[in-house]
Amino acid sequence: MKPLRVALIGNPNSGKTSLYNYLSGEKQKTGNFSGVTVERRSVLTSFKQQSIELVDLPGTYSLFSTSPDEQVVFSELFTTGTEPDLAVVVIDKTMLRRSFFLLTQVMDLGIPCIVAFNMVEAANKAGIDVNLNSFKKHTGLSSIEINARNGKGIDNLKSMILEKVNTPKSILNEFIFDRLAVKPDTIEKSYASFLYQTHHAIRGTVIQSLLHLHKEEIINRYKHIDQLLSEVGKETQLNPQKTQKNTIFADKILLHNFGGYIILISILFLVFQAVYTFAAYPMEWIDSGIASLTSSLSGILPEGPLSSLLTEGIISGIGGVLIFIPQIVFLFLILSIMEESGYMSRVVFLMDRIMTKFGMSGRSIVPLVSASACAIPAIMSTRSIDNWKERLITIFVAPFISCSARLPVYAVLIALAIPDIQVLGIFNLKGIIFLGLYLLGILAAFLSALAMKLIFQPENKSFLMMELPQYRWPHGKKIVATVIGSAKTFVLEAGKIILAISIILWTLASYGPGNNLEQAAATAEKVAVEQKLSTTDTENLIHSYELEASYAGIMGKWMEPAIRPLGYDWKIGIALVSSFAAREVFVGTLATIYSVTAEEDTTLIEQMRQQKRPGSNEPIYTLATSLSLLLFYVFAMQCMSTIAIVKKETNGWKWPIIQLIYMTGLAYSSAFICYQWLS
Amino acid sequence: MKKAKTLADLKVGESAIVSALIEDEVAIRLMELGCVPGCEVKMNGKAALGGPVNVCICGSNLSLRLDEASKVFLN
Repeated sequence: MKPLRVALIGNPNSGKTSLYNYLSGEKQKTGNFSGVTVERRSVLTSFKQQSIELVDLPGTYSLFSTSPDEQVVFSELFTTGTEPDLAVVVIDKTMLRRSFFLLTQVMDLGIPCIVAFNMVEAANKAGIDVNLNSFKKHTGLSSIEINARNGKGIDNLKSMILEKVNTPKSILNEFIFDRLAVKPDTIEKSYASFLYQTHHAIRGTVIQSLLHLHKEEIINRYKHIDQLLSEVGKETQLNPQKTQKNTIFADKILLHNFGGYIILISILFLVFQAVYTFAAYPMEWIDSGIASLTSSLSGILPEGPLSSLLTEGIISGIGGVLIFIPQIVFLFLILSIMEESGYMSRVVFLMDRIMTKFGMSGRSIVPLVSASACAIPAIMSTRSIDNWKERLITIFVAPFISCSARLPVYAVLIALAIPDIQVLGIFNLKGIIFLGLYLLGILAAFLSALAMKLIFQPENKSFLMMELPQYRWPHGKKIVATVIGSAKTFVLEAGKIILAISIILWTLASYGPGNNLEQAAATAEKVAVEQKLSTTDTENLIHSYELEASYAGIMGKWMEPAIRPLGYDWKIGIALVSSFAAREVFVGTLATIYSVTAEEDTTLIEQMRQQKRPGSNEPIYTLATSLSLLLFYVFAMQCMSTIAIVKKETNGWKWPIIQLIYMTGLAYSSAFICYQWLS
Repeated sequence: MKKAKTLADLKVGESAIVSALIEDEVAIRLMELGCVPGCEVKMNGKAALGGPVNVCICGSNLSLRLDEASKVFLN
């Protein structure tokens, strides 16, 4: 039997997503910030043996589509084959007037619907009430009061979904039919046809007559709503002072022209601190746990390719994924508290002026802060930006913000090359360089945004227009669910790629064309005999020759001429190639490359210090090489997942390719200048 | 002729009644949110350096850029 398709429609922050979680049993992130449900989301479930396809649509104030979120709603309702069998319209009862706007639009489309009134307690406090019988008489719709936070009323709602749902009364179809230039077959289809015409007109040029009709429609619709409200309910206050006393007071402080920014900067600093300092402890535990697992496993397992694949390929690959979990957890913990409480829209409010100077929107601040953990969720979260050019600029510059994957690269190279000296008595030079690299990334992001703004000349059509919702206490259970969900997504999505790359790399470094490796080993043995080397040194020499003869060595050598001006050798070349998949692989690759030739119990950094430039006694990792590598990693794209997500979000290869060329070009030239200048 | 007063001119704490709106897409969005002629608006606050304004339109708090607010004429 075909499942019953039930769509949830409602304003942003109406509690629609919480309701979806209750109805489906699925944990999905909810927020007190417009734009949490960025995509159509659906789940197959069943109520009392009836199978149900539950569709959660992005929150919207109107069915006229301007932002990508709203276009999802529009196409869901208008594409043949996806139109819902019935709609549940979720209404924030404290915002009746505005919610009824969307409700009456749905009614005019003739979709059978049920009304779910949410936030009933807050409405009661404010003296807002609706007579559900009278509401049914005037609209033809059944309705129910629910609490989407604790699940009250939801079982009754499920029963209502299974009963016969009424088709609503039409409100403005006749009015619109009389005024449409291109008339539909029947009066009932007038509103649908009008929406459709406007949707396609807006994409081309705005047709003034449609715009005018749209304006008339809104005024008339609100007239009907005010009429309806006077009949079915009492809204004793149009003045929000009573319900929103706390919110207004909090905004006096949090949106203060001076104090508000101080608080915002402190919070952003806390985010940064959490991701880089607090997270360092659990990261260390994971790191040493993986290390001891590897060494005990290689002790137990018989020597051979399988043991080597397991310890050097797979386990170190998994370790490279797990190590980021603490950072992701801390970041999403703070971000979700900010979203849930309603503070996130205040951040947008405070930052809008500054961000528009750089061709972005106040909404861009959320993606840019998220990018300090990972560019992938950051780019996904740009969907709440309505204006395409502002959104594109944000997508384009977000990967410049140093993400957590650059952290291990920075850490290793700084530890290797920067001397441990104090500056001005209290600051450590390593720390200063570290901070400098982050600031450099931020600078690159904003300067690139500015350049793009000058090229694009965004027209003045962008708008901010955003609700500042009432503050509310974050819901602990939901925050935990969000954090677990995002960590899981990261491990599964990024983990798959990183694990695959680790195995490929291990293969590339362990095998070569034909009998290359055997020949290399034989040559090495001969050299060792000639030089009368000890057993361990002979083994190292063999490994080193073998790596050079492997596929990885061939690739590294092939690209060596291109990277020699930056101060790199073919081993770094291998690491560059492999870390094109993901930056953090750089460290893992070096570990693989050097551990293949390494004695036991020497750390990677010591190994790197011992590396000599071929044919001389000069070390490879001089200050010049290390700084050149650091600069390369600040600017270079080096992340396949980011390229994939940019392709998806911009609908084509054009932007990811431009971005890749731009970032790699910037990385190459700055590393070149740095190395040539310092060496 | 005196320039008509708009929502952008409202001082913090002041209220007024909407008289008309410019006919464009941004104004249409505002109208969809309930900002129609006859509705009461109140200025809750303004961000620094000509940033967005925080206005209360018929019971809900919205953040608007100044040029968006200037599309709303007041009595």
